[in-house]
Amino acid sequence: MKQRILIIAIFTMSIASLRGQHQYDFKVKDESNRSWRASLFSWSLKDDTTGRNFGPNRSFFQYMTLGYGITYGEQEGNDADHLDFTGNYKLGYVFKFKISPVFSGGFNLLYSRTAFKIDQGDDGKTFPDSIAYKKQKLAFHEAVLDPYLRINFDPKRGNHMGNYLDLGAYGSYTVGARLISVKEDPVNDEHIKTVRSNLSYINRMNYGLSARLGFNQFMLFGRYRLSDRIEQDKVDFVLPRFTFGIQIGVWE
Amino acid sequence: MIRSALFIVAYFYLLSGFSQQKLLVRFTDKDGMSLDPYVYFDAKAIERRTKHNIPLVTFSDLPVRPDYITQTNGFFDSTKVITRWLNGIIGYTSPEKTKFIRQLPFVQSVDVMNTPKLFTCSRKGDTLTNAGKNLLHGQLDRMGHKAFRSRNITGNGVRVAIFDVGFKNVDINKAFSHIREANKIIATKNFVNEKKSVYQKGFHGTNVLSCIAGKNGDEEIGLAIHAEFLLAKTERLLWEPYSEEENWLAAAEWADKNGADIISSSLGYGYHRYFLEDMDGHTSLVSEAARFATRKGILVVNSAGNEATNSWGHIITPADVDSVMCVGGLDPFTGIGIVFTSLGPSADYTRKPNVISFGSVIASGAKEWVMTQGTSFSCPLISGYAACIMQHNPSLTNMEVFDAIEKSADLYPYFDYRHGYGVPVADIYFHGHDTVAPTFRFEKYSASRYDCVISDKAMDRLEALRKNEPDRAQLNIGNTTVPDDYQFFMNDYVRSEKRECLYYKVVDGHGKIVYYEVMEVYDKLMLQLDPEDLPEGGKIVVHLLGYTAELKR
Repeated sequence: MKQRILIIAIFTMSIASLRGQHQYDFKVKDESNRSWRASLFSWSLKDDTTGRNFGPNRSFFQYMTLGYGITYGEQEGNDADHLDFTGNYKLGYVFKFKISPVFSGGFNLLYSRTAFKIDQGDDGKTFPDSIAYKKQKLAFHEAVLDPYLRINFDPKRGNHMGNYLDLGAYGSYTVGARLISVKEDPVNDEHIKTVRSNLSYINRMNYGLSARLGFNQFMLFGRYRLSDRIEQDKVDFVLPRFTFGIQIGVWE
Repeated sequence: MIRSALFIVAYFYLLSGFSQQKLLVRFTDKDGMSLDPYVYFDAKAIERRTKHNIPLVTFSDLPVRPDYITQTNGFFDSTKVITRWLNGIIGYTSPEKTKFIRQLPFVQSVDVMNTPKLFTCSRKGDTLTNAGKNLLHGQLDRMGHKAFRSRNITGNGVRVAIFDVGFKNVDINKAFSHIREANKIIATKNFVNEKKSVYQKGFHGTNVLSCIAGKNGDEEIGLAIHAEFLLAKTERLLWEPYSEEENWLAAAEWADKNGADIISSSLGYGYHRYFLEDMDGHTSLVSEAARFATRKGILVVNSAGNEATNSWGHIITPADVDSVMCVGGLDPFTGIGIVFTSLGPSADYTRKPNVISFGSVIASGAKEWVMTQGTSFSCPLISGYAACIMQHNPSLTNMEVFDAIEKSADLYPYFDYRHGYGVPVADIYFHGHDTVAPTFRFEKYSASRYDCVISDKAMDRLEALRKNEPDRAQLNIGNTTVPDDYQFFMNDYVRSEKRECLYYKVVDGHGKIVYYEVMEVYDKLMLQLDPEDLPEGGKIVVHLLGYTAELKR
């Protein structure tokens, strides 16, 4: 539930530019609205001059991003090498404030979902338990705050995002972590899915470093987690720290 | 499950991004340089200068000092353009070497140019149908080409330089055989790659040339079928990320040297490099080049751009220069501005576009007949019109031709930021605008209400005109978008005459238009206003059936 609220909250953040009434519209108004149907084209200076402070290379800009990445890196601890492929999905909003043609700053607000698939085939599996399931994954739903400093490589680019490098750090709060285990019931030929939440060994607050290399709306991102997702005094296991992938900015 | 690693390849990009810059280096002087104009210039260039009372040799014509070029080249990795007009050199070098260049005693200024480009392209169409013939005839009839033809005016003796991405098939397409056979292609130059021909790649320029001078059998495509041409390839094809403004500058100097009377440029630069406030006719390199060209007596005709439907919305450079003829697009089927035609004004509120012409045309290019769209093709239609005026009256200077084009437009003196002064019409050029009885009046209904009432005669006239139109033409389709299907003609009805609508605009006390509208007239009483609602010192200007009047606050 919390995750859904988070997604909706981020998704609906937008500024709607409301176009005002044309103050110089002198068409005769009548009930049949003939004047509106007869209008072939109109233009107002009032509408035309809005948005001069808002744009990819203006004082302020905001846009939605979608991203997908994978994690990479050594798993550490007694149960190392028990992870399989992991995928990371992001949905977020970027706020950008222009400092100069070369430098900008701002922050991302993101919803991030990472699912670590746990390899069931190894003998001696102890994390998160010793049972061999059909499949098992540890999924994290996070709210992420990612402030950044942007360096643009092409200062003379007009009102265009251009090519850039973002360097920053991030902090995240794990809104939900679930251990999802699926096993077969050979007697009834069914699958039994177990979901454990409120996991005691999860460290909710995390932080790390982030970077993005952007080509207008297309970005390659990388994150390195400095903190531990799993409390080490409870479980001796460290999840991979690198995540990298692609992000796409959505704007006109 | 395969583990895959995604590596960010940034190193080489960063390296390339920081290791090479494109610079415009301007020098302080041309001391000791001289020029024999009779050796350097084509005879027509001499003729143009004489006609415009321009000195045969000015500072901008003198060559750049070779010692300055040699010394600066020592710091360049490669040189693109040596420009006499700007007394400088454009080339690539590293940021470290840029510092040394700045310190050279003869260097006046160094500008870093990193220039993504905007390129507008046309789409190719299908074979010519009956509807296509209607459009082909309409694009010339709308400008009154019969008035030129009856006087045997075909642009003969006028030299037009075309800057474009390429002129493929011009050397073989039969639509240009009359130009080839009469040796009317005076010179060509590929400014992108001097080793390659202008005919190798790119049909956009071919389409543009056809809209000036194409002729397929008995069917004429443009107005100036007997003009002479200088063909310059200044642009790379679509995916080249950097603008070619420096090539435009070099091509303009080349066109000047080779006697061009008109530069027809269906090119422009906008949001990839500039802000809207840069469209002031002074900021961009290409605007500076265009201003030089007009000072040399060349009439520069440029497309307004196709940006109305995106966030840019406005004209592109060099159409922002006040002395450049900025040409917008007219929808042949609705009779008003085509949906994508870039809007004026320039950032400094210069009146733009100046005029409009068909923005959907029949041209010749990859195939014998292509239907294509864009202000890229309104521009050459006007270039052809300008060439005809120049042939008719060779004593006119470039700016006198500019004025003549504007004053022969069918909305003149009415102007707005979408239609300019309207479509230039040859009959108006020859005979002037008809004296028209008032078609409406402003009636004072009360202290706070004035009605714009259309006369009975005007209503009868409008009714008679509507009877000649198919039903569909009367629909409110002012902002139509063209379907993807190339048999796109919504009907066969091409408006080869002006569509008589009610145009009105509100102007503030500084002459700036703050609102304008185009309406189909359906009733005698169309507008009501309280003059106090107008801006301080402002007015409303109304145009209907050739009559223009205003009501001041």
